[in-house]
Amino acid sequence: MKGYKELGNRYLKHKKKHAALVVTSMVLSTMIIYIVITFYFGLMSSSKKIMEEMGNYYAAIYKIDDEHKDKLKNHVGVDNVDFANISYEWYFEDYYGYGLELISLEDVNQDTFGYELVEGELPKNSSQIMISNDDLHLFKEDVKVGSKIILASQSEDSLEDSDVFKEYTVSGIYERKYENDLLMSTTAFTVADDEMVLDAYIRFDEFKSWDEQLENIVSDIGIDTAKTEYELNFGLTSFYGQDDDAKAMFAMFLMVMVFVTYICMVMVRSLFTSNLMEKIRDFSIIRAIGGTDKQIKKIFKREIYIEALFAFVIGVALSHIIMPVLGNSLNFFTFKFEVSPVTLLGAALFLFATISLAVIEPFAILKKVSAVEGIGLNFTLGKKKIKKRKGKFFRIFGIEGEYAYKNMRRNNKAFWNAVASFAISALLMTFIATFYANINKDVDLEVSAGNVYPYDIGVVMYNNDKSWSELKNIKESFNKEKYIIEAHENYNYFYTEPDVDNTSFKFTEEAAQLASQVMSDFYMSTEFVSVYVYTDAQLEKLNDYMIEDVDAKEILKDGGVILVNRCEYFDSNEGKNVTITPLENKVGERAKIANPAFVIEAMASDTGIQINKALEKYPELMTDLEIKGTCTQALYNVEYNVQIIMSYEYLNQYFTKDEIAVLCEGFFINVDENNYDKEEFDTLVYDKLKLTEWMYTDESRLLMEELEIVKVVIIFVIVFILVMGVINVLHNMVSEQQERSREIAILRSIGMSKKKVNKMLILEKVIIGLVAWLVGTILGLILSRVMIEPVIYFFETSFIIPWISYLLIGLGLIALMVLLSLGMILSMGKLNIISNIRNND
Amino acid sequence: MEILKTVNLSKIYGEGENQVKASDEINLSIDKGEFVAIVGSSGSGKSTLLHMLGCLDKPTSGEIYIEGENVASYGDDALSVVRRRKIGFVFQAYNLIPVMTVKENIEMPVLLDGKKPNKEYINDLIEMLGLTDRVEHLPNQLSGGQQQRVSIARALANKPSIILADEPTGNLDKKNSIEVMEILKASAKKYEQTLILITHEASVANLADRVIELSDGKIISDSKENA
Repeated sequence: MKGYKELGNRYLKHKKKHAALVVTSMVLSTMIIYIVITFYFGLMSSSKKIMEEMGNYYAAIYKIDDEHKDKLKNHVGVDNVDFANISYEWYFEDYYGYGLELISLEDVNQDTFGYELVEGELPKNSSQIMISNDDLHLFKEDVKVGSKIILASQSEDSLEDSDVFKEYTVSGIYERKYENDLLMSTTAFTVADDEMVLDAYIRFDEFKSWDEQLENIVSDIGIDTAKTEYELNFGLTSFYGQDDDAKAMFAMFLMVMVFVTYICMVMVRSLFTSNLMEKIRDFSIIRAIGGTDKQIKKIFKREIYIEALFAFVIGVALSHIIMPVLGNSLNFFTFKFEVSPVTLLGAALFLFATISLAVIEPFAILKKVSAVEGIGLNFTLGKKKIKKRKGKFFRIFGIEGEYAYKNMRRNNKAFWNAVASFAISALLMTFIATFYANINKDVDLEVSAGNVYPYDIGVVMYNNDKSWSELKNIKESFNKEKYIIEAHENYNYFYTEPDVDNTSFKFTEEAAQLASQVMSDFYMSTEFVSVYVYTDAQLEKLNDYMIEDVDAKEILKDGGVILVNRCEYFDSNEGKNVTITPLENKVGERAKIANPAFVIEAMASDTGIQINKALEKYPELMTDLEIKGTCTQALYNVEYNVQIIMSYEYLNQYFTKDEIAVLCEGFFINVDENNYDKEEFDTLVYDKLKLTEWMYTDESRLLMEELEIVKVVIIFVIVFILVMGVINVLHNMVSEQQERSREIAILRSIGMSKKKVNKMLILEKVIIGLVAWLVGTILGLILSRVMIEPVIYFFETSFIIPWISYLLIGLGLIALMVLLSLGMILSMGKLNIISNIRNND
Repeated sequence: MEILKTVNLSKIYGEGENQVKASDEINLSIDKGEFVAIVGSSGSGKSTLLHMLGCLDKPTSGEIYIEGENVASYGDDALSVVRRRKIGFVFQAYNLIPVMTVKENIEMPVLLDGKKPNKEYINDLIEMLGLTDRVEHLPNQLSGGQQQRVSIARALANKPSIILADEPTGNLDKKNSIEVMEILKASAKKYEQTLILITHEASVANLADRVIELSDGKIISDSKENA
């Protein structure tokens, strides 16, 4: 040995099993600490990227004049400001209806608008434009640098009537660095001309209290707020919140770290104390031969820190295997787990703190025992004062039951410590079970009702002018593919097949505004109205939600509508969601809404065709619709706006299938998960069906994947909790066995049979397990109720208590205790009564 | 030359009615190189006295002078230094560190003193104690007698001026007992150490230069004074 501290190494070599268990507990601690820290820092890092994607600006002031522009540029608190005008121009190549957004900038700024020039040059004057390479395919002719294109300017009327055309020369092609709020799907850049009135896009100096900063700036520079509009970048504010949210997030992170550190500390501490008896004796010998407390501490720490070093390396390595499973599959935002010195250092510091805290108590115990006491093992850990306990209730289990209770309660601190360590496990498991039960139930409700995604993939076609037979061919082509179970027409729009289970369609914004203006006879206007068209089968289901005692199918057979007796919308003036509940006595009143036909026409063009034109085309369809009944909710697509329900059968009278076919703007596809191949699907849609203007969404798959990940996380946490609990208890039992061998020997010597001794030992643990389960369940239930409150509010459901899960947790805990007791009994082996009474080696 | 002295040394356990005077105002003086045996019936306070002399236990009152220094008032760290430099303690139950080899157990007090073990000296000790074939063995691989010899070697590792032995032959058979006593006596003579031991055995006590008898915490006879 090179120094006395090497005794610490020696313990590792000779007590491999114990060292392995200590290292395991530290590995688990490292993993959880490291994953939490990496997640937090990854979140912060991803947030920066998200910020860019949401538009690298905090606020916008619209149509700002030159005088205020200069003041804004020079204002204290403004870090950067870009000036731009975003208008809408359109192709004119028999492609009417397809919009190109034109951004006119004073200086073409990459930071705010996120692009990279790949060919040509930036526009130098207002007759030149720079187009995204993603949009080149939209033009019929090949567009490249130097090409001339003519765009029609969108007026308030229609493109058809537009007489403002402008020729642009393509000066350059750019690539989008990221999708952001300011760069819509089709965007071209040009330079602002002198007469153009621009908008200001501002970044502040401080990354907090944005609304306050914006108000101050607007006020300082003297803008007439009645004439000039301004607003925050809601994408960013809703993501970041205000500074309170950021602080809350950091506070939550610290709270999680404290909680995690505490749990890990308890686990590690219990393992250190498990072979404390042996260590006390050895260290007393060291003390007897001249070792100081400081030297003993160094030996103690040497062992611990070597274990910690191994654990850290193994823990970090294992974390990097697990993290991709957990983290990179979390699709609610772009996220990557990355190794960085900061996260490694942070995790190392927390582990160091955990271990240092964990050894305080064991070492304090060591110090209290004198050399003489320690050598002779003539001491007891913990308080020497023993409290008198009755425990007559436990006589139902015999004298060993009463004695078991007395044993457990003789040292209050030790008893509650043991209860606490299990109660934490019970609390966490109760919380997880409750959380999972409530979330699962709510998501199930939503998904099974088709309210979330009743499909796997959506294929939406823009500017559709396909005939009914063409649409049918497309549908059949989809259905012929081995990996597609079913393709059905977009449920957002009008259905052609009466047996399909989802039908509804919406108004365009313009039509909805008109409709809502008319509807405002009854209640406040909304941004748009949803009209659901239900088949007879669906109307039968709707009866479950009818407020009046009427049959939905019956009342709608001659026309009229059922009004959904609730709507919610975001009021931009109020800056919050507003819920309105129409009065039930609306039955009998007439809803003056525009005829669905004009809506259909308007939807097909998506350009906002003059509403009057549609009305001219279908004069016979102009109908006043009587509200025949009200219901509490629609069956599908519960939306936050005005909703009315019509009968398909009745409406079918007004439309031929061909007319309806025109409306169909896309398909929803249900795929066979086992055979689905995205590349094949893309080839089918793009190459074979030549759907060049389409997009597809796969939210259902993403949602299911996220739910699966949630399940994985839950299982991981439960396994972690259980493993920690088992390690904790196992080692407590081993140390207890060493302490109690004398006591047990005495009991045996006065006639207690082995069977009764075992029963007593098992009962002791079961009592602890029961108390821990009760305490943990109650606390877990309270915690769940508090944490799940927002979810219940959101889904408008009730809080459910999964009693069966709680019972199973309790049974599991008790079974675990029994198992561990049996393990302890077995490991005690054959007890030598005499030698244990004498407490000899 | 006086090497160890106690003045009104007392050790009291418990409080009130339950008070027990394990040592009751003991006054003792031992010279350098003496071989002293402390005898007495069970509960007479022999071990208590030895533990106090060995700075393993603090007295309730009184003074202890080791090589002229009053160690009774020393703090824990200072006592530790005294224990490893001036005293070598031999326990009845050997009390070796189970995870260290024979050689490492012997060297431990030197390492605790922050010094490098004198290889020659350590090897001498090992040879003298007949442990040459066992240097790399762990304690659980040794017999009782061998373990006790390791304990003695450890006690001698720092060349202390005083060796205290608490019933060193208590757990040994007759043959090993004789051997251990011979070793203790020989090494004490060789290194000019003062040897103080507790024993129940008359045969061991008879080997000593001086026999002090205790009863109820007091010295009831001292062969030096009687002589």
